[in-house]
Amino acid sequence: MKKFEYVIKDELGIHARPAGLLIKEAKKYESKITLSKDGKSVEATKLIAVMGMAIKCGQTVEVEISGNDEDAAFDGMKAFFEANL
Amino acid sequence: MSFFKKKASEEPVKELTAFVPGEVIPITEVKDQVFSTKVLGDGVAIQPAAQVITAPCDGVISMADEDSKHAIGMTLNNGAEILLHIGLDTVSLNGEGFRVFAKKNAKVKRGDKLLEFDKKFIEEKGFETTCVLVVTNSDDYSDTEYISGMKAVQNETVICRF
Repeated sequence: MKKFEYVIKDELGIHARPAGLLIKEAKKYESKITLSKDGKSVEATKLIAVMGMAIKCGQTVEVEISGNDEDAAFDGMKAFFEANL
Repeated sequence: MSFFKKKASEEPVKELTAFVPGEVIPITEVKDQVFSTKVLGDGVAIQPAAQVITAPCDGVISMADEDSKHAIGMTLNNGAEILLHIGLDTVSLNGEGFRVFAKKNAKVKRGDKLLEFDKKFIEEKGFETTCVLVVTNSDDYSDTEYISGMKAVQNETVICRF
């Protein structure tokens, strides 16, 4: 299991567009990827669950990855957050 | 014979009706790539002729964002997850011009009022008011039919068949 924390810099937070892209990225991997904020967790492959977290700019999210391809998934997800959020 | 009777509420959802009246267009014609390229899932869109959004079928509200207000999520009893997204890029309005009636986790019936939006205000702010319905787990429902190319009557015209 690997995890990282990320502070959202996108001023609109994780709304439909970035959530859609995030899910697309998360689906590339076999590993289970979860997104947590304030003790609430959702699967990173479920659009409405991710949007429903209402993650805003300045908030910290924790991304937890576990599975066979967790190294690649960790790098991919981290790069995604840095590039898009 | 009671043996053949099934409670209506137990029947899986088979159809979605227009959640707002207006011209129904294919999702591929929505002027926003996040929808037209189906990144969020397959679906159908309506150019609204009115300002109240109603539930396209029975279900449970899975998302009702109290801040940005322009999107509603619903879970249907057949397992499908739908997203109703009102307007394009309307997240930037931070909820201005929208009023949400739907409450998260609440059960709703087809035709129940979910949200109201101020079409003129949103257009004046420079946004398209296209209302998009996305089946966010459409990969699991590959034989779903999305129906477009007609003027829809709210709560009557079928826009999607599972």
